[in-house]
Amino acid sequence: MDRRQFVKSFTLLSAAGSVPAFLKRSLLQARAAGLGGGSEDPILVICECNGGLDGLSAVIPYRNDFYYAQRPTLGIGADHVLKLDDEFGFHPVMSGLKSLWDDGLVSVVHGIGYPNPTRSHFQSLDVWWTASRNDLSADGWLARYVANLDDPAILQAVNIGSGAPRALIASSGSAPGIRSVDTYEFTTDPQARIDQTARNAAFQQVMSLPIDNSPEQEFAARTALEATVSSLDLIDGQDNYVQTVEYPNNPFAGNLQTVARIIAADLGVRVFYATLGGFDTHANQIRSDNNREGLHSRLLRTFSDAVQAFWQDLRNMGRSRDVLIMTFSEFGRRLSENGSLGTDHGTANPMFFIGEKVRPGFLGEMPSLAPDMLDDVGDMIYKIDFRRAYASALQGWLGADAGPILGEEFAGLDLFST
Amino acid sequence: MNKMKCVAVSIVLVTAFSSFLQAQRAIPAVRHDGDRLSSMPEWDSRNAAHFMRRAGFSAPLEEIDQLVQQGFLTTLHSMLHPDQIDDSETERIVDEALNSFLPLVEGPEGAREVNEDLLRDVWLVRMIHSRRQLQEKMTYFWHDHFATSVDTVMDVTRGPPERPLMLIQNELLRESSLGNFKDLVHAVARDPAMMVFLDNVSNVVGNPNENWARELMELFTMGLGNFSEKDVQEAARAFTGWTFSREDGSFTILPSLHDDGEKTFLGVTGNLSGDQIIDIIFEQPATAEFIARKIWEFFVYPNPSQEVIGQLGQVFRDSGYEIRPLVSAVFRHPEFFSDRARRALVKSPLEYAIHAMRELGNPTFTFRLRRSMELMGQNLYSPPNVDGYPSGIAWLNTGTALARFSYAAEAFSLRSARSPGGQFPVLVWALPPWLIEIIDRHRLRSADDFISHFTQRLLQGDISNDVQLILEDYMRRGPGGSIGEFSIRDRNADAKILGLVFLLLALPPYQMS
Repeated sequence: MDRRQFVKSFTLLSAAGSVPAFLKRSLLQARAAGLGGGSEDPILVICECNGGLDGLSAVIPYRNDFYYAQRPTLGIGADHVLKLDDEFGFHPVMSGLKSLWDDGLVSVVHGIGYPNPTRSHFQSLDVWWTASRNDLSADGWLARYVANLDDPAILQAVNIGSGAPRALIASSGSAPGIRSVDTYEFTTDPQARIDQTARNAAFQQVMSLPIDNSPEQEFAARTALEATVSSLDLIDGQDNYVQTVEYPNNPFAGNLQTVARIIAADLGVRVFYATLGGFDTHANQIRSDNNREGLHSRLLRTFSDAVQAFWQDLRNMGRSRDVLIMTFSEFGRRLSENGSLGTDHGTANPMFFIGEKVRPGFLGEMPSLAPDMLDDVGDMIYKIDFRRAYASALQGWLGADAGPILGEEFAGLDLFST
Repeated sequence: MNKMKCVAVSIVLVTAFSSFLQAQRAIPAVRHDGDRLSSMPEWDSRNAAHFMRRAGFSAPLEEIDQLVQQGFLTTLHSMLHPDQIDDSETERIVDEALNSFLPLVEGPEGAREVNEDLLRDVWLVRMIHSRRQLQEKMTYFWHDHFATSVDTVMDVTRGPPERPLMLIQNELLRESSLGNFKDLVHAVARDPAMMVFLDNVSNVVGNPNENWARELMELFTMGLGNFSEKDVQEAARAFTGWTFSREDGSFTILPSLHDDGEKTFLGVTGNLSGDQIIDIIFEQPATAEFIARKIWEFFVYPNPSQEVIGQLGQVFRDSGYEIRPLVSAVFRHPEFFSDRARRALVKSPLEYAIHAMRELGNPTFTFRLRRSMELMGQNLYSPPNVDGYPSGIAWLNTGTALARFSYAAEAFSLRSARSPGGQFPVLVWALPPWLIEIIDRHRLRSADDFISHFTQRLLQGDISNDVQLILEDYMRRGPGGSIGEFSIRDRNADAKILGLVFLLLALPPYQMS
């Protein structure tokens, strides 16, 4: 059975009224009602740089003697940095992001962190994911955003990949995951074609039964139906995407292209979440014969080139004004390098915001690198609580009421031009 | 490695399998070893199946019946003593696979790299075929606990023999899976794959690397809240200079790179060695409950009471950190067979895929097993990070659900058939032999026969009346939507039977272990 036939066999059923009410908020109805999709809706794309991105290697304080003193082998010479102003420059591999900077699309916020920082990857990720310093068992902050939405779309927040970050997980379930558009389908046994309609009917019926004794099973059933319908919607919307940009050949760039394809399909998704892992560079952060190459710069290049290609794709699609990219990492890395051509876990870090409505340039103040201005472990002391950045993204971009979602009022940053 | 080679690996493994249903497991009756029992469960097929889902990778109906006959104590004792179980058939298949195919392939710049897909296939074969099911489950537990990724550790020993470091680690975890935990931590600290993964090979005097020292305490033993940043830094110094021989993987400490200075760790001061750091950790009470909780949540249910964890932590500490008595106490705990425990754990992709295979007595499908699992979100030997694989509801989202349903439809479809007795899996468009065998053995003829048999085999009859009615309707519904009677002679009977299996594997309760 080909995909279209398969779609048909499900559509017949929805007409017959065997689909539960919540699925009637399916895409087509949403489109008909003028909700979901549409170019007026802001989309937030979050890029998690997992493992602890070294902010001091991404946004290099190339006039800072403390930086060079503590980074005798890792420090990137002033001649090589892509200068942004008189103090800071991007790492030389970040030409992609630099070109977006030159177009006035990038805001770099200095010194993001939170009080009493933990150097545990997992605890710090929980802090960022729950937007809470103390209640790390809380639902993810984006799951809370979705829970507060009164929205007809089935897919409101989507993780690109096969897992889901805690940011998207609530105790009642986790957000949809799309690893790639091409594998997001319900494959069937071609030899069972003769029985397919009956099989699909029974599938929908069992998944539509109420379940009251197991939240996990209830979630599994709901997910099964959402998966079926959203997969068909995505297949239907695929004709909207025409590839005009050659993305770099790596999984992260592929994930951003998947985001572009889903945006093109107009499914009404508000938040996308993509992860680039591998930033935990305790060793071989640089190559011994060239400190501008190595594990970390490879990742920075991957990130920067992928974002550039993605942005070009959005421009070609005429959707770049709908999108804001926000990047973060669970922590920065220690100012002083270790003996393995690497760095250990640190604290404060910059965040990048990319979009046509951001106020371009630097925001906030870089933490001091002077020895007496570091904390007792030797790390930078943060200047801006990351939840202020969340509040900006929620309120200033998505138009949500940030207070109830973050559980506390945080003043937004002066991030967007008016 | 190219795709053809991967498929070839799987094909030979497939053809080497003996039929599951023929391999009747005669586990020798043993006498109870004198442990004081906490509880005696009602040992019926429902509880035996629950036990096998947790202590192993589930079991076919035929084996469950046998275990019920055999009794709980004998079954538990046997599972806890894998050395007493003859598993030579599995070993033969594994050896043949490892010897027939290159465990190493050419990497970039001529480097010898591990053929990771072969390692994955071989371990999957063990999980599917091993008669030492608890040992294999515990090996997986320790892999998840001491999470090390082949994506980082592609190294091999120069040899001879050339051996993948990940395989050396896997063998260590298997050997030690029910042994002494403190010994295991000492051994993992010396394990080449771990030393590469957490950078201890580049941890040197003067400029220590904290990666291993931090995770040793945070993830492997005590857990957060029981040590300070200063303890991490001091412990890292104690492990400086630890490394291994690239020839044979043997452990060595390079004196010139080791920090001989005085360190203060968890209140103890002296020229502490790495081994002393581990010993000091085990003098603290935190580790016993940390590990007991993790084992409980792996085998029973999430968020246990402090009372349960206190009891088990006590068992663990009193035994000097012996794993076997701890695991035994978990299975004998009254809560293990409680309603709260039943179907309380979301199956990992590994469990989802392998349980279905074993329950259906169908070990002939491995080609796409690895790829299917990856789409479901899990790649063996590649945990997403040092904290191991996800758990619980995090395994389920729309994408991974689609991957589960696709597996359920494809893995147990007509396509997985092979010619009976043939050397190669020719794709024959007919009912697969494993299914014919079940139909013949259990004389399945009517729709009700099929529904009740497969509901029992896959879910021990745990379905609601509503589901039952939907399945009955499904079995009777003809191609045009008309209602008739199911007959095994019908043109679409094969599709119906496999459709029934598919629906059961897709059901919400089947997502739970």
